[in-house]
Amino acid sequence: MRKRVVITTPFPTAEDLAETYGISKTRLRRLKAMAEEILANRSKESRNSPTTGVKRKRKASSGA
Amino acid sequence: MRTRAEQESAFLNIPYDHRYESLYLAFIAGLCAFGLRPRATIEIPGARRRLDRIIDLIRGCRYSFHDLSRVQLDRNSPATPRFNMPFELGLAVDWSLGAGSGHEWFVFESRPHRLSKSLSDLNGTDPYIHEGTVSGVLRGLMNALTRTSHRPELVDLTAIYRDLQTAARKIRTERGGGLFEARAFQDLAVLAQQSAQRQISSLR
Repeated sequence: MRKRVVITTPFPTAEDLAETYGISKTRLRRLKAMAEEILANRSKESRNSPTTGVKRKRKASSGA
Repeated sequence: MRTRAEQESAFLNIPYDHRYESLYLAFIAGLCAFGLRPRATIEIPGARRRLDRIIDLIRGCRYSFHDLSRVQLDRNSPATPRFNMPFELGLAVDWSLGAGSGHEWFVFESRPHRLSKSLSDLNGTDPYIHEGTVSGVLRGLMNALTRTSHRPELVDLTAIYRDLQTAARKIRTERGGGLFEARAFQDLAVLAQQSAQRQISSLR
């Protein structure tokens, strides 16, 4: 297997990509808002996940 | 001398096929995680001869990624093999041999030894085997690339891919149409970049 290629260039910003693709400022704003929403939901889900330390209350068993 | 945008651009040579959608998202997620700008032929409209536009696009990219796993007979009559992907790989290889181009190309396949049968001229080139899976594509990219700074881990690529799945659903719901269109492709790349910026700890 060949050696991994090393990328040395800076990490591009959303504005850099928008310029490459010819994305307008309005469309970029909408995309950033969509990204914020997705990332906020992801953080919320991971906070509620039982594997991240937030324990969910166990339902009391109905008992017989 | 390449511009910074060209240095960061990666030509994506993949099938535009509904059944390939998850691997398409995986390539976009993975390339953006490494700080690259994905480019593809779906971006290029216009009246100019298609071949000229493809050549210009490849030559404007420092890297190219070619998935030959779908070089097979299509279902529609007349059954013909799909030659576009190996042809575009040939264009990239030719460009990489030119003095000073500095172009780096990578071949992906779904199964070991398939490449030596379908394209024996590349014997001696190790393709990255993805086994037709998202994790296979992401692992392949991890084996192909690294960065001097802001180096992503496999867990980062996976998280960005998941965000992109959500974004793809939103794009489809809001706009209708498919993901293999110029606008959807570019939107997905920007959304993957935003996710990478949040996911990779050194970029936060």
